[in-house]
Amino acid sequence: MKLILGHNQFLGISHTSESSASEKDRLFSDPANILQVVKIANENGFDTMVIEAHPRMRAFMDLYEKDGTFDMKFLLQVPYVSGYVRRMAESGIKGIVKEIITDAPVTSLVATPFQLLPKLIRSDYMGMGVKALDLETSKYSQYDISGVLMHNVVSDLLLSFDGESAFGDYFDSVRRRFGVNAGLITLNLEMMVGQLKEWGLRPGTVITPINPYGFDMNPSKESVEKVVNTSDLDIYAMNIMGGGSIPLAVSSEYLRGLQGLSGVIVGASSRKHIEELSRTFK
Amino acid sequence: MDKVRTGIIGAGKMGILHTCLFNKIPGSSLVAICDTAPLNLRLLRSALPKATMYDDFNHMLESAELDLVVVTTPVFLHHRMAMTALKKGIAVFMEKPLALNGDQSLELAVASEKTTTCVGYCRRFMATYQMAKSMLEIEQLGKVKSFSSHMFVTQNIDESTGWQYDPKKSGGGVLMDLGSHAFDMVHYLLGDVQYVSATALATMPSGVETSTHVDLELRNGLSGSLDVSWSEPGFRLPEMMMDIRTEFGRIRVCEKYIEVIDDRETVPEKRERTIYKQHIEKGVHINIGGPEYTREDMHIIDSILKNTPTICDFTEAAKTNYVIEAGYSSIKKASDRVAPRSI
Repeated sequence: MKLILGHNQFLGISHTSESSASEKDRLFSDPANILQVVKIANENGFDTMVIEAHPRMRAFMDLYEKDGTFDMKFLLQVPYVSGYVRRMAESGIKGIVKEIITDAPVTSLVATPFQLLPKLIRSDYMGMGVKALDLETSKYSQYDISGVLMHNVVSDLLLSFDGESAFGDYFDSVRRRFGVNAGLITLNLEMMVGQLKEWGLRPGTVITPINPYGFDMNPSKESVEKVVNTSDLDIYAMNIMGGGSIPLAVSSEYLRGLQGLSGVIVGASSRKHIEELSRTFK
Repeated sequence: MDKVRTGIIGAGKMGILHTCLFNKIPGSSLVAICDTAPLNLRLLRSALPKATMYDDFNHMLESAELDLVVVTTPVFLHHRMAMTALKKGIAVFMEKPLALNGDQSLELAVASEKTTTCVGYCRRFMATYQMAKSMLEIEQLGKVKSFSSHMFVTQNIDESTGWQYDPKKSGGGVLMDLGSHAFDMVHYLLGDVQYVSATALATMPSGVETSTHVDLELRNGLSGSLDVSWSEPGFRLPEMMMDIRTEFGRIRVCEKYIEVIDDRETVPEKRERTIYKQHIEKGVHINIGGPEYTREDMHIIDSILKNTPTICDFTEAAKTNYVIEAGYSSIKKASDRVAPRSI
């Protein structure tokens, strides 16, 4: 089963413990420590990892390119949701705009007003939001990005608003910039896959929580299993161990039973854990 | 009625969340949204062409033929908006807390006797707290002896932004904001409060409290404590922890897990167990900001369609407002023991 390295641990996110989250946040504030873990993962068969549009991950990418001792493929997750939330709290909409345009390439910034104008005339505000995502991905044009993933906070929000044209714009912009099918993360697999199919949209990678306890599998564990086993999409499982609350052996046995699953996204921050994951899913 | 015609007032963070949910959950038909910011209305109109946009809540309540209105505005507007809706017989879902003070809350509770209401104390809809409640109800670890609790978050506080830091608009500081969740959880899990003694441990230059210690005595004879803070280090997300000591052990419950210690167990491995939310949360129709929000929104839709009471109606939520008020009164009286008005 294909293994993809997740990135939450590098940003100090833990779903079970705030103290563990703080500890990881401190450790990985130095991108050299991220590089060390990614290198170990690569040695153990991980050839792809997810990175978020987060300043810390850009520092890591620079270090990775400078290091040049191993090859990894990168799936870019956008937008940088926690950064937006922080900026919004600190300085409102202006803060978010600043967050988006900071470090964006000049060519993208110059083109943006011309691309926004038709959307503004049509009052296509969701399309304008997608343009902001495009501007954010432009900061990663210099790196070898093999896929783009829309964060579930945005994809599920667009789903609830029946945002057909916004999804269409997003798929187009990713194809144009990176030459790949746009992917997405969702907590609502059945509804998302059904709706995109109805709109005639086919995503690249789709990532969704899948684990033996059915946590975050909506509307039910059974419905998600059915989609995984009948869909021809590339569906990957995340939250496979429920942030550490589900034993790896229990999770891997369950995931192996899902014939339609393309692989798993899993976070790890130590050699021991990475080697264990590699052995288990080999 | 097979679909509840729903309108939302307020297009801030919680307003958008409820808009998403009421647009998708079964039994709800989202027909109207009200906000005073033209940009928000333009944005929502482009996203939801079937819903009518309003910039005046009176106009919306007059003309949208609503069965349910969802109020997500700053607290100082709650009373006026909910009273207007209730007079028209429209059910109300109110984001917490119910109102600025106890008396406003009581007026709303009285006015809502014949109408379905619910206040968004979302932790009542989280699996860990629901499990704790079931365990306490059947006295799985014997009778409750005492409790201590906290609700903490690490928050960047900027007094110049946000209505939450203006007591005229919010009704208070951290005691009103985070404390309302915590007091509601005390009511939900343990019982009604008889006396409150509160101390403000830290305040902003404006005098708004940011950190508070509260001692509580309940009508059933239990006593315990609550610490509430906006500025406790190490809490990226809010944590509401209830540590409940019982005859035969202890239950510690927060958003992420429930820890059960059974002193009667002789096998050491069985004495302590931790049940994570990942083990007990069930799927929901659509998950946008957390399953608890979907459940609370589906709960009020279900209650309206079946004409049954909700688990946190205005009368229940008014008790929390009176406890908060007693807390502020105690702080002013140098931590004197103050009795909240009983309902």
